[in-house]
Amino acid sequence: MSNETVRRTLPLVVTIVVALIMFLDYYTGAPVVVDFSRTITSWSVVIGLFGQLLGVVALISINARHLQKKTPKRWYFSIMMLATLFLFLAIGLATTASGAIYQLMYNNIVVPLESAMMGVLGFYFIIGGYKAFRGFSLDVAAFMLSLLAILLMLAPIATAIWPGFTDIGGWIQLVPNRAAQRGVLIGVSLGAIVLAFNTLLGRERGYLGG
Amino acid sequence: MKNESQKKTITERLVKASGAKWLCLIIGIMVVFFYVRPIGLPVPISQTTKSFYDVIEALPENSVVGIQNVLTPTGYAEQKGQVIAIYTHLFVRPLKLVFFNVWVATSPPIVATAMELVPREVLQKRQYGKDYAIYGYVAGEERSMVAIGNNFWDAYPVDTAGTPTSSIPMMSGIRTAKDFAVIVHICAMFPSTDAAIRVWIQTFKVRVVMAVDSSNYMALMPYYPAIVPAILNGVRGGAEYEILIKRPGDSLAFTDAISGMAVILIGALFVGNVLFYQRKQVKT
Repeated sequence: MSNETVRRTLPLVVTIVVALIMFLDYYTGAPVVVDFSRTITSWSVVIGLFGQLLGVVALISINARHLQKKTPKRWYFSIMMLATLFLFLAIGLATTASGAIYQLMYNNIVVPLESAMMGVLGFYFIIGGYKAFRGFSLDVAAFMLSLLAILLMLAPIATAIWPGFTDIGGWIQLVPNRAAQRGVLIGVSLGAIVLAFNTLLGRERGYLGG
Repeated sequence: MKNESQKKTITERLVKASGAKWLCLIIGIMVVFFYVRPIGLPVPISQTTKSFYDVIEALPENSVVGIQNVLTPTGYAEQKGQVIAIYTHLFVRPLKLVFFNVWVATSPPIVATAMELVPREVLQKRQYGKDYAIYGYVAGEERSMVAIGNNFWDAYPVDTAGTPTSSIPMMSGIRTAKDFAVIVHICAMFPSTDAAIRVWIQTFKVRVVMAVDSSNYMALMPYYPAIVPAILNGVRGGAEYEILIKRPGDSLAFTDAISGMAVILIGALFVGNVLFYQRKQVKT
């Protein structure tokens, strides 16, 4: 088989066949197709796991290269990355994710670090709000008023002062927000249908590398 | 001729002198203060939270509830209170609970941690294997949900402890999506909420209630209440839920911090606008 067949034609055929089976499963419900589509779905879970394994291999390979070349301002982070990766991997394999040591490490290293990253966002929001919402152009005013309405709805101090904030915030959520979100959803769904048909017809080849 | 610093207004000079770092410090102190010493302001219960509580309360005895966790350490910072409140409520009720994790591999250790925070007196009344079972993570994002709904035993041959699903007594009657009375989808990852709707609601016709962070809450509004009948909204939803189950916890303690943040943000917006107009006046 030529290189082109392996790299492009074969994946394209696999994609079209699988997409067709899923399509027929959903719209016909024929027992043979349903059985086959369920088998493929189970395979996809295994493929997903291999995808993750591939990610780990790529991560190790990239960081090992940085370490080997002693890339300035990078190699010591690679040591840290690889050490953490192997430490968590070893303990996870030995004790499972529910094991006491794994839990201890996870809860005292990963959770506080990621939570702190999230917490920093709060500070940015406030400073961002202070800098961005200045002056009353129509856009800024609309944005700022909806922000305030939602914020006051969520803050118990505001609803304790005036319960009407709950109704105003609720209205913003349920009417303008819902209408805008539905518009976006319909647009995205139409795009997804077009993409699905293009994939089914073999026109969409972006996932094959262009 | 006046130089640039002389043109600045008094307020502007004050703010500039104090700088953003002081604003950050005030926010930090405020959050810690309210968390340690909550004032306990009243928290009205929203309809979305009440619906969530009602769905769980209305489940007949021995109904099977699937708890689909998509938890990340980042999201857990916001969702910790609601996760513990939901788990506690589910354990209080006489239900068959199946905990499983999809979408992100970070979920199983968080579930294990949250499980330890469920009140002992509640958890001790339930028996593992008879009343609840805990499963690990299945890769494949949306496809994993489909695989679980099609055949739970195939997707999860063993639980987190490595016990075969076939030897867990309560699992004998739980094989496909139709065996679940309701799926509780707990997550802070937007694509997973959409996928849960597509898979569990539209394909398998199973009722789904969701507990999400505040940003996802807004994005779920188009589905409420016709498609997703109940949604918990981040810290606030967690606090409301803690009130409903009469077990005050983390979320309720944080609601006062939300009030503090709201006051600071409104103050910052006010100062920002005063400066803006003062500057405008100076220029003209």
